[in-house]
Amino acid sequence: MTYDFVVIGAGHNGLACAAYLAKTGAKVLVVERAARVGGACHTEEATLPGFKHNLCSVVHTHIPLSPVYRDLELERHGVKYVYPDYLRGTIFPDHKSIVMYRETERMAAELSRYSARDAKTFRQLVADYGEFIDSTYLPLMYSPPLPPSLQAAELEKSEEGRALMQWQASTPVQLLNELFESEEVKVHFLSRMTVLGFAPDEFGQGWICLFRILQAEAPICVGGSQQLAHGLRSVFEKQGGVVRTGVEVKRILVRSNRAGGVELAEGTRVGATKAVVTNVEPKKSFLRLVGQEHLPASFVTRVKNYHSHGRSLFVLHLALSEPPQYRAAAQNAPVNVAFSQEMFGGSVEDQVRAYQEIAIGRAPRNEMLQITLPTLFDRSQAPAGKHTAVVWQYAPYALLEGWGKAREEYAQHLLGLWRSYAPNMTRDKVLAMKIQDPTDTERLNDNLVNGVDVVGDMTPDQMGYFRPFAGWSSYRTPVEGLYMCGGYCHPGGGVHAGAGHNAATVIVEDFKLKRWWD
Amino acid sequence: MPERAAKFTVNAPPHELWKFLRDLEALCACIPGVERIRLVDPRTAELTVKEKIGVVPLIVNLTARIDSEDPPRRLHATASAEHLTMAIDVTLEASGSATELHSLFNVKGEGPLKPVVDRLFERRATERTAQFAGALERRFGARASEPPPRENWLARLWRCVQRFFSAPSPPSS
Repeated sequence: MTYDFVVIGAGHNGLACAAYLAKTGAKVLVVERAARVGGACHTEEATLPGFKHNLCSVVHTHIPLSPVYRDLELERHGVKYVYPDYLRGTIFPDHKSIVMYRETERMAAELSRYSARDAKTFRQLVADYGEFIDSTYLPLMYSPPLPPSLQAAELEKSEEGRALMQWQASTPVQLLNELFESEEVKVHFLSRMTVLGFAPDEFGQGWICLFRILQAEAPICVGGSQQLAHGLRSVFEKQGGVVRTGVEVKRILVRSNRAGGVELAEGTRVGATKAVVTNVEPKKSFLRLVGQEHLPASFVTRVKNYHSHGRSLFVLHLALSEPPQYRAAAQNAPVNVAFSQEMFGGSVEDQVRAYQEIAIGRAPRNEMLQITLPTLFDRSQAPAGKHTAVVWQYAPYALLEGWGKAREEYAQHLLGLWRSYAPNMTRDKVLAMKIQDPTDTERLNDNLVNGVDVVGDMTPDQMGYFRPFAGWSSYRTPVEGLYMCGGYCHPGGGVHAGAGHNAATVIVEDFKLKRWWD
Repeated sequence: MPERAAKFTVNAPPHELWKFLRDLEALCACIPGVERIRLVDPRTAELTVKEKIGVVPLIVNLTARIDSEDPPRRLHATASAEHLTMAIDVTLEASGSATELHSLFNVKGEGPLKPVVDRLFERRATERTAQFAGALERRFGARASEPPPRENWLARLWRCVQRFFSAPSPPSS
């Protein structure tokens, strides 16, 4: 068997890359070890029949606006999104809340309940940086990362650009302290960072923080996250692409520093006349599938040092007989119907402390909770009148005492914490529950090493030009004909298909294929 | 490749408008964002253009050169900078005592900043064209009209065919 390209891993990035390549007319094979496609786009009836649970990705923030959605005409392949009216609701221990709105004036009015000065600052940030974020962030996600020197060269030409560079170097907490006075406003915006796994006191994250202050969309894939993978597969197969599931790759065949195909676990060899593209996380791709003997020592060092030590998630998937009614809704009704309800304590310090606890292997006893009920917006994900909920709590992967004994008690503890905010969430309203501790997350998808749901820490040393490694952020590798396309590449983890799109762009350029998209 | 076509009716005869277009310093004073201009020779100028994206300015140093001209009817120029190349076609048509100015800007972002340049041009081109028209109106008492809808590929092809068969004029020195 011989193809032009063999893509290893049918996660959404692998499928997106494969679909772009197949549409050039190339003969493409995608091999996937699991029985299903989609990777972290994984929806299944994990509790009761008819209750669809999204086991990893819940929201696809960038997909509907991305070139991938447009180029691959995903809507025609059954991928549709619904948008909640209210974006997020941060609820504080005293049952006050902040709801996040798309409209600047509504958002400013919400913030003004806590601080008129913060509301004014928010308006000013939108005026000063809103268009900058719009004009730069999305386009730069869907292209290879900028060298730091180029980014700096453009910004350092002006006073405003230099100020932005300094914010970029700061920690989220520093930035929020500089911008806002109200503790509640800071907690609200900080949670926009930490919920993605960005540490609150990590230097070099200020730029991301600014983006998260100004942008918060929450498109939900109708039918569940898995639908995106089905749509991508449909595009790919319509172009003649072949997907083989339940097939494990044993190694990538390398000869004279050129990847020529893959050897499957069953012993079959599949040739790739042009290239092999791996969507598998770096340590498995390079140390296991390629082998150190085929790689420069310096590259092997970089691979070994790629890290996934950040916070992971302890997840509860619930089948509910009714949606939660939050105490906070008495004063702020939209809280009940926002995309998510986020309970991260009452101070910035609470989030900083939670991250510190996690770093030493302790599961926070205080709430670091994000709750989402996709069924409030997409009725197709549960039987009529019923709901599904996903409960995320920040947690360590390596719990000091291990998750085996602790998980049941911790799950009940979290339900108790949640109930203190939403009193109707009594035991009888929970029809069924599936516990997913961080080790389960890794078992479900071993690209998510240590349960880190963004395929390797999104820290300044592993972002942009440095993702996955300095000098290797162009999706190419030291082995000719071997490319990377996973969330461990720029623009990082999350469901946006940026890495798949960008890898395809580079491959098409390298092989002088017809670039059929704009 | 993003492009924008625009049409203005300028309250001046073609030869007067042409004189203005060929006075690069005067012309650039009407182009929004131009902060500095240095004339290299009668056909070439170096410009510094500042385009603010919110509060953050993007500062571009451009070299603009007139590649060909057919006074007082047609002019083709190219402007290039580190991250972009812009092709500019200007056609003047007499309309009574006034002149219809047709312009076509074709921008090609280059290198790593291509996606940002392309997006920025898409966002800003219409607004900046309107500002340029406003500047002409102030200078000549021009009446600015709406930019025409973007042409489809067939219309562009037809225009190219027409150009191909029209008699080319040698560039003046």
